[in-house]
Amino acid sequence: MRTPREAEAFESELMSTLIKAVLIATVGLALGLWSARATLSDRFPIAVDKIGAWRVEARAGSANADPYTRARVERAGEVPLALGEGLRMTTGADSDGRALDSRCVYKVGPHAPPTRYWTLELVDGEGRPVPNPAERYVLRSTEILREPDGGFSIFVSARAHAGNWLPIGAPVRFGLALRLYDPALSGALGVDEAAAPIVARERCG
Amino acid sequence: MIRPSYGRMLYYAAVTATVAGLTHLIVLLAIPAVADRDAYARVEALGAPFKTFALPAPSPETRGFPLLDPATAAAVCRFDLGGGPVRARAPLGRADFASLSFHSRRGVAFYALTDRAASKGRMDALIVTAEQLRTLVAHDDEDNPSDDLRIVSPTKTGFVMTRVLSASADAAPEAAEQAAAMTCAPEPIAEAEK
Repeated sequence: MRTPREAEAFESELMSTLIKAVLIATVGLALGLWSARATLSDRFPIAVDKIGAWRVEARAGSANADPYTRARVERAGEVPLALGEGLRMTTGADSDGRALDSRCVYKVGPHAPPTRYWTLELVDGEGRPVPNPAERYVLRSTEILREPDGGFSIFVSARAHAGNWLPIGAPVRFGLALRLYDPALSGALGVDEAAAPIVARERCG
Repeated sequence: MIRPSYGRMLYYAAVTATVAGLTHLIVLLAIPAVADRDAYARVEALGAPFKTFALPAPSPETRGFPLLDPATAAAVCRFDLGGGPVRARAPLGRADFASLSFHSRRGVAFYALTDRAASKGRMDALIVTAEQLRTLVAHDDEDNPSDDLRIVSPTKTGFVMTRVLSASADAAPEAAEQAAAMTCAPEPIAEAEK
């Protein structure tokens, strides 16, 4: 038989164990949920390949993609380009790492990774084209003006620009999506590091 | 008041971390199972299997698949290998680039080919299960081997997508027409044997 004093001590210890267990479970669950969310969003991306500011979606198009990539793709509901078909590169920042701003003028070029064709698109946060009056959402490698040496400059700006112009139709957060069709695959990421186009901020305001 | 020892604190931290780690893992692995707007679900919502659905050209208003290239026309066709292998075909047109990609129930691409791999003016492949492939190989005529491109699908259902690049905005309707000409249809083994 326990004395009343012992019973009380036992009860209080039980309570404190219970409280600790609930606390640990709550904090653990919260941390787990938060970290899963953070790694799938852009905050602390895991299993993401980068070349400079460009994010290369080289893993999404293969049958043995890692769980992080698969979860991201399924959550977005997209059909990624398959390996052997093409490769998508996206960026939300210029080559100096500053977030793209609709008030600025950007110059993209002078080269794209070696590929049969490529296209450059302006996308919003959900991966959809940004509306603009001209309904020009994308530029193709087949339709742009080039320098004699094959190099090119694409100007991304809200105001019309001479040469190759990709309009920023609305003051939203936007990104650039470069798609390579039938790329000459090289290196671990499929594209040559030096071959990624430079996104240079020209001026703002 | 009892001062908690460091050992005890460490123990609690370890338990918390384990719970967090398990939660993280479960969420990650559960997403594919609970995602109801994944690519296959979107294709399924379009309609019956073995029918080709041309996807609307991406624009700010269209609420179709995200991250499709506005410079390409795309079409999808859902398949089910329950009734035998499925033949996928996409005729080539004047477009500069066209591709055919094969996606499992999970959306991942298990194979893709481009117009470079086309013969007789079209991209052509036979989608099979591992078991159907064994049957086909067993029936193959050794002297007259099949020139079929046979692709084993990891899941019994899935879908095929074709993407056709238009060289300019003016060429978009033509690319859309080419994409819509893609077909996928069951081809029972008896017929595939010939």
